[in-house]
Amino acid sequence: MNSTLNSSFGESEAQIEAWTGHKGACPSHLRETMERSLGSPARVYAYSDLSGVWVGLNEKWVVLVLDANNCDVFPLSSISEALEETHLSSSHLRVNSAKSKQPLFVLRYTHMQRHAMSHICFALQEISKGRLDELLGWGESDPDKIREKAHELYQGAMLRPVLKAQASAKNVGKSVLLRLLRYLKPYKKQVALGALGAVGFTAAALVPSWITGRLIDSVIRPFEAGSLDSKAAAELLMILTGGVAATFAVKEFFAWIRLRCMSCLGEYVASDLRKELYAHLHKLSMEFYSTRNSGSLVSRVTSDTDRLWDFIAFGVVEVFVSTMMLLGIGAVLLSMDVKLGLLMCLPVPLLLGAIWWHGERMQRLFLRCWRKWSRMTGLVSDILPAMKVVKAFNRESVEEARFVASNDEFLSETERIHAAWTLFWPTLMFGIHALVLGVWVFGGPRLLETSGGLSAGTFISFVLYAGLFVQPVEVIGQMSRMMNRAVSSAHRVFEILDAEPKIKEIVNPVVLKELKGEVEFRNVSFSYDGLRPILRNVSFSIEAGEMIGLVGSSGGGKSTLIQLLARFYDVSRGRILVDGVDLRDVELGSFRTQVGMVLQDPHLFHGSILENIRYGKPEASLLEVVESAKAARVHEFVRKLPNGYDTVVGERGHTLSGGERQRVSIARALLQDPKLLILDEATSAVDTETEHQIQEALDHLVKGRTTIAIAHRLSTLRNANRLFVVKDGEIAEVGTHEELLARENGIYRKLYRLQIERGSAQVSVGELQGG
Amino acid sequence: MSFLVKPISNFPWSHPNSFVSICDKEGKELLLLESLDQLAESSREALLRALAERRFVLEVKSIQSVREEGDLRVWNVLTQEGERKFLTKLDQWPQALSDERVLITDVAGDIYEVKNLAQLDKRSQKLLWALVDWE
Repeated sequence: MNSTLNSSFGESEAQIEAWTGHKGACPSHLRETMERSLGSPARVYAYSDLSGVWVGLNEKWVVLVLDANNCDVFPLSSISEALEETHLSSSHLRVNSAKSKQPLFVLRYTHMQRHAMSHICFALQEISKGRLDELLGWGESDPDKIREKAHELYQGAMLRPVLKAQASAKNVGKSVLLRLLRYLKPYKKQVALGALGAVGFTAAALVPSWITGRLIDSVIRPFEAGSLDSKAAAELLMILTGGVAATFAVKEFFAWIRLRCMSCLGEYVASDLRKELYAHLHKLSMEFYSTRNSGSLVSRVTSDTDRLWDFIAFGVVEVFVSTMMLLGIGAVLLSMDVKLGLLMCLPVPLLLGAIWWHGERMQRLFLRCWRKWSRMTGLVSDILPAMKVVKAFNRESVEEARFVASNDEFLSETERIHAAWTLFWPTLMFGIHALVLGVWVFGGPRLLETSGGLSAGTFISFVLYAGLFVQPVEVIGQMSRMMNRAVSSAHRVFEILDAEPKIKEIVNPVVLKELKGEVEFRNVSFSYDGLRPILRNVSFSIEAGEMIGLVGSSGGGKSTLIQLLARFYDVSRGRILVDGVDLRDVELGSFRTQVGMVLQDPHLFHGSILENIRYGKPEASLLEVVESAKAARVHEFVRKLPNGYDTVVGERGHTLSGGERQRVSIARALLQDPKLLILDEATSAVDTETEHQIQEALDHLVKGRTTIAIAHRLSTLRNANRLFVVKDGEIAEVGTHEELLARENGIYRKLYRLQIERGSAQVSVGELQGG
Repeated sequence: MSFLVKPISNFPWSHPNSFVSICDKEGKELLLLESLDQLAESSREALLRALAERRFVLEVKSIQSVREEGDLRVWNVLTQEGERKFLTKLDQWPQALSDERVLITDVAGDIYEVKNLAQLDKRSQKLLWALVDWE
């Protein structure tokens, strides 16, 4: 049974279990019970966690499975009503039968299962309305495919809240760091050089302390003992001094190589990641963007890649150098004197542990402090802009007291933090001094022993080496926190790189060089979640050059219809044909350059008006630009701006009014000379006067092109050849304005009357839901 | 005569059993009960039962673990419904209702309530310490 399920199901299954603690799919023994009592695989299933019941249904029955040998089956034909009610942290689904006052069954579940349970609820409601056949995908008869679809629905529902909070449901894990290191591959030479620098630096850093020891043992003591004459001693001293000088020079040379290589390397990797990430974000379908907040995407491209630079440029090397240094010191100490070496080396893990513990503790303190800080800043930004209200209610002193309390709380957290770190570091340093003291206590008496004792030079070297311990111990102790930070940044970057575009081009797509503009929808059904249909079996055809107006209450499916036509999403069932070619077989680039879109709230990019008009066609001549600007009624207001077409607009630029922005966006669409024009509520957000101007601009735009317009105000559509009234995912009425008005009890007639009655065309259709 | 009504608590957290609206199926208020004292014993009990069901939240008995993973905080707790795992966003802090009462709302919208911080075991208290205001 499981063989047909591909690996992504297994992966989602494990992820759901790791994150929600609930099963990632119906357990197979319960599924068998379910299938046995239903007589075929369940089309939809969910888990009612507070009732402890798995519930599933097919086209005839609904079954509640308690355990493998215990289940209740109800015929769908007996169901008259399914009511879902949502409470604070739970919901219940009450299923009634026509025959009895008592409900057939009541299921209780927490919000964790709400999306999955709402599938069941939706299916039962459709069935009680006798619309079973219209449910998407219920025509499927291959049992394996049915099972797969049911799993997909369940898992999609379980992961939906997680995906809203985070870009991907995949668990990347610690292996991301290895994956990050793969980005070093193109820069092998740099890495090798950097590593050489690090090793050289470490080795050189160990030498001066050793030389100092030699100075005492091989020069000063023999000289004092008279076994070395002053000339030879001076010579040796010169050599050792030279050695120290050379060591310093070599050490800093290696430091330079290392810093230079590694910081550039970090930049290369961060830049590669940024490029890849940015390019990938452009490849992803609109479906990806609809559920994510753009702020978090921005921070992934900017601050997360920056943190990874930091990690590669410094983190990796610091840890490497520090480890080398510790091992180096250990080796040198043990080779000079085993007993004293052990005395110095054995407590090191203890020091590392202490630093790690301190890091964890500080993190908790910082978290608390940060929370208080953000509460205080939140209070300030909440109150100051509302000063009028505060004064009107005479609450100044209360607000002041509230701030003081919040400020005091923050202060006491900072005190805690300072108390912690100021005590910790001196204590740690004292620990290191204790090691040095240990050398004195145990090494000192051995200095006085005559045979088998300790040479003064070795003793001095030991004392000096102890000082070198501090820095690497500190770095390694903080390593785990640094790694965690890098892992979470890498995680955030890679989870986007791992997201796959839903819209894919076929291998040899049809290039539509000259779009004629014929559009046909053939039995198109569409659903965002794979269950609830937004469009149901929609069919129509539009001739080239026709203008179609889409009207109807919001949520009816108008916007979905044009999103499908622009191929932001693919249809769930049926086909969309453009010039007789299936949209999925068309090369997207060639198609989209010939489609113009004017949206409700147009975005102008930071740049001059000229650049904005030329956005889709940078090679356009000035004459073309001015002509389309004239047609779009842009020319008139731009003429009055001191900087004319060179006026910088967009973020931090000159502020255009909503109507002006809209007209610039129309000029932008016009310049591209699209054969297919999509207008999505282009005039809904402006006043009547502006609407009139935009309307004039649009009249120019629609000439000679296939146009599909959604309009808020019915008056906008006076030029349309035909109007489609979209209701509940279906096209309910088709005809000209006059034809539709003539229909007794027509939806359009009702809408139109309401707008007239409310005085002018100011009323939005969206307000007339269900009207 | 009997028909379906819904009791709705207007102050579900601060005064759960005062000002209870009795609504019809569509949610239209039929009457507003200032307090439940005026009701007969049996009706009051029935109403309290119905209110309790609507006010159901997951009650945290102890906290097993809290860890950060990417953009999320992963919680592992013991509730009256047994072990539950849930996720919160990193910047979504538990909400303190009073000195000892804390609500944690997860990404799915489920509410986890700590009724009394002081009665939690030491380990759970330690895990909550950085996330909740309390000394």
